[in-house]
Amino acid sequence: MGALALAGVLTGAAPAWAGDPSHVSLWRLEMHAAYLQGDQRIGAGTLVPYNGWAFWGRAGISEFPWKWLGYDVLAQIGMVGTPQGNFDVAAEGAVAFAPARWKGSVDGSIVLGVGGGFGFERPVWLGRAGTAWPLALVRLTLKPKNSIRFFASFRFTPITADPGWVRSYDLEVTGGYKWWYLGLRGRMDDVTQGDPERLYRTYWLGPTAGLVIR
Amino acid sequence: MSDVRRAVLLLLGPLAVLTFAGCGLDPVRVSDRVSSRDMLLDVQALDDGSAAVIDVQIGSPIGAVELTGGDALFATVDGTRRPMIEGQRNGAPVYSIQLDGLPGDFLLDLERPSDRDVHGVVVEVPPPFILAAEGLTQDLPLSFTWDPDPEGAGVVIVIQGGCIDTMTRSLDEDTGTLVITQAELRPPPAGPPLAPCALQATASRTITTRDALFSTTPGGNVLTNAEQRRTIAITWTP
Repeated sequence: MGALALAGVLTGAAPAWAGDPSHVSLWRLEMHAAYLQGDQRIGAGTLVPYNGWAFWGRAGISEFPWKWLGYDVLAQIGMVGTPQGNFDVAAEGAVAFAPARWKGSVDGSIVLGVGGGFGFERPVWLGRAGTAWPLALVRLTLKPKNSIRFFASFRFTPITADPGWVRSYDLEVTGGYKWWYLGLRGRMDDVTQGDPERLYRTYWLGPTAGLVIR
Repeated sequence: MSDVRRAVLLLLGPLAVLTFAGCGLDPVRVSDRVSSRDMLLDVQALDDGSAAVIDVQIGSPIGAVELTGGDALFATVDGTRRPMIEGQRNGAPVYSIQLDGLPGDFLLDLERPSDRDVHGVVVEVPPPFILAAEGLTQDLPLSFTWDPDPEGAGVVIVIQGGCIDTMTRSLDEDTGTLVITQAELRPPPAGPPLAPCALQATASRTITTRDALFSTTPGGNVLTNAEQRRTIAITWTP
């Protein structure tokens, strides 16, 4: 009974996109370039600095067929310029929940999600055989005016299928006018492995430029 | 400049700076950042009859490294354990100790508080010897004698001086004697030398080994090169 009641609350009476003013839905296309730098593991456990660049095209859909419950998918394809690899692809999906949405002088919403993804390893020195991971996400959207939109999203991957302990922290902050937006995305990949076991960290930072479709 | 263009430059500018600033990243060559299993210990030991020195360089995938984080090297020679002292050779860190001589094999220990220790690496040292020379007067040949080591890996004798072409003899069997006729001491192409002529003869025994530090893969390596070298001066009047 409890589960049924919860499902009833989450799905609500009406879909969020049917004239919903709180902007929990977000369809977007963007280009993202990043500089990366960090330490990779060579041999059994030697820290060696490395750097490179990356460039992706990304497409994301966050949609709420029900009032509080929806989904969030993000796919990206691109290039990573390091000696270990170049082609890069990944896809992520999550069940999304919108616990807060409001109207006022600044409209806004908060979306939470839990899901998973698959793609090539990041950082690239882990290999290029493909891996999978769970993820948690949170996104804050603010619309001070109808034509101005800010959103910030944070994605956390606590572990992947790779040896050792791999996790990542991904923060994107954007501001947009009408259909367009610009932003900055930073990512930190932590890998704990090797002999002796230690932390290998990679930082990514770069701009995004995108288009909100809906 | 439009606001959009200004915003794009604001975003791309730092990226370009970071990209160029990061070119050619140079590793910090310290042992803290190197696994014991990735290390290459390069041991050079030399006893020249009057003094001896043991040098150890620690190689790695990022080059020769400096011991940091409490890591330390020790050598146990003739039952006495001594810490090795850091110095420089060709711009790279080297760990050394000075001794009166190398009476025999010695042990190396690499102690690492945050990684695997390497204990009891045996460095094989050839037996010490005394080199003597006689002859080379009138028509007598040049005769060398030294303490033989029939079980050893051999001996190399080099004779050099301003009045001859440098001569090298490698003896696979170390019998402790070598005789060289005066006819074998050929003058350099420039012509006959002025007498008397100062020669220098060097005899050396060397043992070179290569072993793994650990039985894992990768397991690190230790290269050793231990040499007993004796040099004497000879005067020759052709």
